[in-house]
Amino acid sequence: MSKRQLAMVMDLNKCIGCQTCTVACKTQWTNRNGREYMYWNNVETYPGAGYPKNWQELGGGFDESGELKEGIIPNLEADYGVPWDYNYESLALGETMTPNVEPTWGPNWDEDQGAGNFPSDNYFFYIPRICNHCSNPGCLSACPRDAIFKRDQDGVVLVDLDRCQGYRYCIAGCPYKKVYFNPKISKSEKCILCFPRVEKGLPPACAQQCVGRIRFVGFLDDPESQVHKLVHKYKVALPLRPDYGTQPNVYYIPPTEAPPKFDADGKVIEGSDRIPMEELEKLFGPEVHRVVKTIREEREKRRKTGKSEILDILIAYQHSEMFRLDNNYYQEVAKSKGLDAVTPVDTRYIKGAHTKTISHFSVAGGHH
Amino acid sequence: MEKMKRRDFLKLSGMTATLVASQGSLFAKTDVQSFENGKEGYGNTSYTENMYRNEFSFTYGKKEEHGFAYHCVNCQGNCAWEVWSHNGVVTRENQSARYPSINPNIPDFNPRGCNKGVQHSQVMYEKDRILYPMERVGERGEGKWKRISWEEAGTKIAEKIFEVLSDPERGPDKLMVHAGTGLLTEGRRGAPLRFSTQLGANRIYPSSYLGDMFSGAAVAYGEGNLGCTYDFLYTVDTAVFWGGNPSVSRIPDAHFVWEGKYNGAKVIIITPEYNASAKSADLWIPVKSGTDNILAMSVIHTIIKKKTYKPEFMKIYTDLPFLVDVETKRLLRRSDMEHTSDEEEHEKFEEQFYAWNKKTNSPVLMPGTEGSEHETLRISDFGIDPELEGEWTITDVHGKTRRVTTVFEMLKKNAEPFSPEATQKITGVHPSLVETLADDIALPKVVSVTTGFSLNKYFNGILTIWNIASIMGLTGRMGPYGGLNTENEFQLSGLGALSGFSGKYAPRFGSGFVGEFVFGDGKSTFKEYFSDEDVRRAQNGMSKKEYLEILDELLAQGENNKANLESEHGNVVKPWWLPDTAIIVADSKFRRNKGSKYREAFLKQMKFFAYVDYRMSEAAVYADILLPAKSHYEVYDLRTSPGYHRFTNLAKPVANMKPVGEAKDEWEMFAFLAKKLQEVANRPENIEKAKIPDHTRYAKPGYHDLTIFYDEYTNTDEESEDAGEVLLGTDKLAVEAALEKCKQYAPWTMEKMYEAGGFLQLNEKAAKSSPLYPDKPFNSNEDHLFKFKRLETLSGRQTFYVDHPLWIRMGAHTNTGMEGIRPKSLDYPFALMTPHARWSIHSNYKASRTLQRLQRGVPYIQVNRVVAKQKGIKDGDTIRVYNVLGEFYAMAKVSSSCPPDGLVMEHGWEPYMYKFNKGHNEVVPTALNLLEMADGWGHLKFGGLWDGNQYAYDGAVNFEKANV
Repeated sequence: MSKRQLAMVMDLNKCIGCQTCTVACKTQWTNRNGREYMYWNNVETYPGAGYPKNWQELGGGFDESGELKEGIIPNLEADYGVPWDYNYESLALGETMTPNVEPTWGPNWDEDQGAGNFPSDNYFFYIPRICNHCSNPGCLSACPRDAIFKRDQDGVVLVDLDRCQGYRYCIAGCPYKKVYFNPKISKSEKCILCFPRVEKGLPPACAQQCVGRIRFVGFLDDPESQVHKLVHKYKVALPLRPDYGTQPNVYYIPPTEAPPKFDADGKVIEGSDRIPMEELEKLFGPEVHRVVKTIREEREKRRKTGKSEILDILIAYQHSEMFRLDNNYYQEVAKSKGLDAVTPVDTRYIKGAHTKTISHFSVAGGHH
Repeated sequence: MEKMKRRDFLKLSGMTATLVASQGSLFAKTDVQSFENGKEGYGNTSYTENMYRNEFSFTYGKKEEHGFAYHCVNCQGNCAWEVWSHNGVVTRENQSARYPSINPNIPDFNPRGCNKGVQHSQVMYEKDRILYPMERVGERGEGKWKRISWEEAGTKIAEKIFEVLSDPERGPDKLMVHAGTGLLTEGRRGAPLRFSTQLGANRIYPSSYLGDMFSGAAVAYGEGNLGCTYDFLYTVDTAVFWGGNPSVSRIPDAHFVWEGKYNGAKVIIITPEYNASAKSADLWIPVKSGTDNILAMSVIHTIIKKKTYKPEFMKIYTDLPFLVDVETKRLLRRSDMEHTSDEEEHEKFEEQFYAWNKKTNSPVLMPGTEGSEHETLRISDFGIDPELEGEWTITDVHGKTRRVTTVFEMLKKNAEPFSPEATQKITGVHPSLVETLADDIALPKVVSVTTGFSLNKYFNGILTIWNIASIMGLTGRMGPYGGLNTENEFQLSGLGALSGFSGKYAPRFGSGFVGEFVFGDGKSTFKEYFSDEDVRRAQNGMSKKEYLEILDELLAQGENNKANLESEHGNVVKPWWLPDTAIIVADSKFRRNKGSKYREAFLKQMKFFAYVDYRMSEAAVYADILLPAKSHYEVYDLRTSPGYHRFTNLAKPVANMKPVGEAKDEWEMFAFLAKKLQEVANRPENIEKAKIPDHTRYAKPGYHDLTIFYDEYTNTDEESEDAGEVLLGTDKLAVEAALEKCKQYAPWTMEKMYEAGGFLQLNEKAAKSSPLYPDKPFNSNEDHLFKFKRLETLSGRQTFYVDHPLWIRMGAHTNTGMEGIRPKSLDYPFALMTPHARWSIHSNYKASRTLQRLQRGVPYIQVNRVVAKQKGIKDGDTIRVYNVLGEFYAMAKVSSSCPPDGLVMEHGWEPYMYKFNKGHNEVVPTALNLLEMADGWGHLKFGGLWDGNQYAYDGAVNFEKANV
């Protein structure tokens, strides 16, 4: 096991499906070099086939006895979607703007479509997904080269691009299908939790740039971190598909908020769940019942008393307080490895268990 | 599962095994190494780590070389971005996220931004970028271009301008210099506006032609833009979004809504479709498309019946106690009751009104009205306690007996037919929901109702917003108690130093919705499409014939601003011009305008038009000359969100920015054009004709002197130098001038803005109708409530009554409901709804590859799942959407979120993105509502406040699986 684990919590009630995270990730890492079709971060509408298509049906992960399960490698055309381009240079010539490949699937193909009958019980919500940086990664276990590793310092899971041979067992082994094959270099690549940003004091692009302010990042063992509080103290954040057995380190506040259903006359059915609980149970396990109850009770408490520590965290009064990246810790790691000291480029997010004070930095971003 | 499990190769699927076999090991870089467990102590981490670290360093570049920017494309969100670069080339953008928190108990405004802003770096180097000045050498739209120099382009445009202005038959009436909404800034936008004003050229109001003008709010409050900074929504008890979808079209601010919900607010979404906001709401009300004004009347009805209104508020802050003649439906004026000695007094008496004073049991003049000598609404100081209900008899100045009643009584009468039970069959909303909505608005302490921009896009949208405003007036919602939230706008003064001339020249403003209607020959589309029955339904029984007669008369009066120039008491009609020469900046008008005939009519009328943009929009394709503009990351500029937040953002290019083609910023560009025009004017053959005569309303001296045009434009002429005017001519000079001249920016400088993270915080002078507290969110009209300041309305109060003859004719003397003009045809049973987009700001960024890949790659449209099945349409099929006006093709997205009687399609697609280049507006008719055509009444006189809307949702369509 890695010494410490960096983790993320995403609040699905606050997710607005804007995909700013997806695009921030794209411009940070995947708009080039054979990664064009990859979405290390994607946001999918549930219910829907998701991205890659029907990923929940493609196997991987572990069975109850801890054996790795069979998995299927998705197909570029059918399951990821070919990243089409356009004839931009011809627009001035009066031509129709046309994709060079007929679009048949993509990472957000079933956006907002949902399921059910309009307007009585139709529903949808969004699930943003990145690599879960699992404690028991399916990809790592599946790699015949042993070329996938968890960083000791923060548990970030990386494909060793020096040793990867492009066998792609990792893709089959990951039940979330969050490892991708880079056809240009014939190696696998995946979300790296923006560790180069984190080391320099910037939260992952998808998290720092999330305008719905749904993502918290910090170390699970840091009692002051929101991720610790939400996951361990209040136990309201749950991993996606815990039944896959990989022990994800990305957690979700399940979607507890949805309008009530209507009866045949168009009257509200009081207390009804527009989002079926069995669907939530499938996604987040049986614990979800308790979490939904807790969040709703906290809302009620807040309405009556104005107080709720859980909601205080989820509201996130200050954006910068959503992240605790513990920069001193990374400095110590660099020092112990004999690496050059990493000076943070930003000092707003660097507090942590090893970084109690930031007084020796000049505070950037002046509030004057 | 805790212990490490070995993989089992044999369990992997056959497919995987095949792939492995085909791959080989050509790329192995290292000799065989043995690693047993990658979960800890892995020995080869640095190769990979350093690769990604280097990649990050490359995109990040050097912090001190970063620029700041925002995207001024009429989303009005306006967010501070830090622009990263490497060697003068932009790599990506990251939100600045440094806005200060104003209160530890209210969420901050970070990290403002959205999915569009986050990818401008990808678009700015795209191949649809206009790089050089281009001249058309083929037919318009044919795509034959010749690259020309700036020198040539400038001279040609200057000669065209000179030709039209110096032609005695044409002159300024025939020249348009117009900036669209692809450029909404306080710096750069000033350049084309200044150029336009100095020439006496005409331009039209963007919010009007976009259908974004809050005309209904202007009726009620004498101000269309009112409401709150979005952090206010965190603090409310009920947040209603009526026709609005903040999670899609208010992305940077939506978090306040959902955080407010966690904080105890009840969130209600009223939209015909289920959307990204409805999915998290406490209550979603699926209203039928275009019936919102009737639903609002039903809420008014309920509030009146349940007496949940607030009489003490209504007596002081509304015209509800004002007296009305029961027969004529005219407000009782002082001129009805007293003789006047002269014209001036008569005018004053026309704007003074009565209530029935309970204390004296007699009519009493109300203070605070437009003609009143008292500017306060503090009626208790005058011993007035007005009756809200009752009917009395009075004798007027002519000795005639009249029956009078109150506006409130008239409202009750108008609201009577709109019981929740009666309106259900039109609105589709169950009576119990109407009651819940009425209670949730009337009963809690703080309630905000945000009206979406979709509401103005229906023919009777003006009634929707007016009716919602009236719900607010009945329930006492203002200032700290919430109220109508259209779009708050802070005031910025002193920016006229950039775009104006201290009154020497005044802009020749035309009506937006009428201007485009006339330009595109909207009348023939109207005549073809709408039946007598449609007009009667939407105009209170008026026949199509009578409607057209009235319209013709109003249009005739508005030509070249004729009637307004003759009027002695302000504007009386919507003015329009038909220019034949134009410079148009960042305005994709062939996408935007409705019907299938606009483009043809425009091109026929327009002899020459130059187009300025950074990308090939649909308008650019048809231009005669194209001028390349710089885009958002290449310029110096400033932009204040109208009022969603209290910050002004800075644009400052990255260090050593490498130029993109020969693009110029707008100030440099228009200063250059000004120079060329001055040169042309000073040619020996021209100099005699270079003083262009004009009406003194537009040019105080009676002419525009083109021989010193550049000097005046840059303030380097003698007169301006003597007056100490700011030096103009580049984007940077404009920013410096704005920071110097605008009072609300003090004491900030560009350097301070850069240090802070690319923004400044407006000072307290930015607030208009409420104080801007340092630690509280802003919401308008607190001064009205607590200081009894009058509103800028005829009555000085919230307006429930308009006795303009046309409004009385429409039955809209007070709030009422009317069905839309969309034909009710069994052949075309679907409403086409084209709301503001998640994936573009109008047409801006619609063509982005990055964003298209997160959609369907081609225009797509939501179709209800059940209806699709009936029609044999599968998800992904191409469908043909059609009516008698035209047709377009799009990919069907079979959805449970789409109502069965509608089609939902994000707007903004350029026609060139559709099959056969036929955009969705081909099936959208155009019309003018006489309520918005009415003019010359009280505060309803043509201007930036009172114009009208181009409607977008009045098309009824059908669709079928296509065979293309």
